[in-house]
Amino acid sequence: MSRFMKELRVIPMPAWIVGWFIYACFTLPLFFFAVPTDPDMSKWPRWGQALFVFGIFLFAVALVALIGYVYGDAKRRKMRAVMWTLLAIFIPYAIGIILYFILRDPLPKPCPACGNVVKSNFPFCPHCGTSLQPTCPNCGKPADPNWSNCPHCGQRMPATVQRTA
Amino acid sequence: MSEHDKIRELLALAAAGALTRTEEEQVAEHLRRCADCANELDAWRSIAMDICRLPTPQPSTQLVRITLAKAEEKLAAQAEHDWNRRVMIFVVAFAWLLTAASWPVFHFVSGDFGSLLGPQFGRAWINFAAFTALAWVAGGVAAVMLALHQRRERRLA
Repeated sequence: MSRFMKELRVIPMPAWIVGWFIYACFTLPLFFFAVPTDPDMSKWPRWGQALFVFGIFLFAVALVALIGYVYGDAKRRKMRAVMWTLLAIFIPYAIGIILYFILRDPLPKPCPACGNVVKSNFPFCPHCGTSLQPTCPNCGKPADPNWSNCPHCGQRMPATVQRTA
Repeated sequence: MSEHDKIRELLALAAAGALTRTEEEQVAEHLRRCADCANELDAWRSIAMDICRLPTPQPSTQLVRITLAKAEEKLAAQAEHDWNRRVMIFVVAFAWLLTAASWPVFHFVSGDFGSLLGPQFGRAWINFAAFTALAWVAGGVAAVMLALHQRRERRLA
């Protein structure tokens, strides 16, 4: 399965239902009742009217699907799913969705010791206490194995800062 | 550079068996005429044989496992980075298309579709541009506030 198909499955089913429901609610009344009586659009050929009405509202379906994706993705990343979904809905022109993609956390990883899913920036597993990434022996903050000094407290790092797991 | 010098540079590679067929033929042709080079090639061959006799160091299983795990982690991070970049391009393009598409819909739903082509076009365009700019500015302010909030949260973590 391609990455795209995998990500599509993150979108919850209610989002698809709401998206297509909104699509039907706007397009059908517009196409059958509003467009034929509009003084400008009634002069268009019928296929042109159909293309305009049924085409342009596909953006609404895509927008609802993206909002659904934000909800599903924020949930699996252990972020505030409801807050991000509300931002995606209420900030216009999909700007809330762009913000989400800029600011989202990395995907959580399973703890190698107990298997519980934890945020990838956690230095220790909150369930079993296993060290998940190298830390400074002095201040306990996450450290890169290539650093010679801790950037937080200045402590000289040992030659081999290793994961205990 | 004379032909002799060129061939001399190839002798070490010839001893290691790393020459192309053309180079091998050139070296063989030269060696028939040059005893110095033939002697030098014998010396290189002797060194190559001694090196072959040395035991090849084998990495420990743990080192191989850790290296493979690190390589997999790097590849996964790179794939994630590439995917995020493609998604961002798509979402930004979508936001602009949505902005453009909302323009005729906005006017059609408000019963003012004709103004797109009529003399009121200028005023309608200014209203729409102002609304769009306001939305993007609101988005920018929200972005700054969220980024500050997230930074504070990460600092506390």
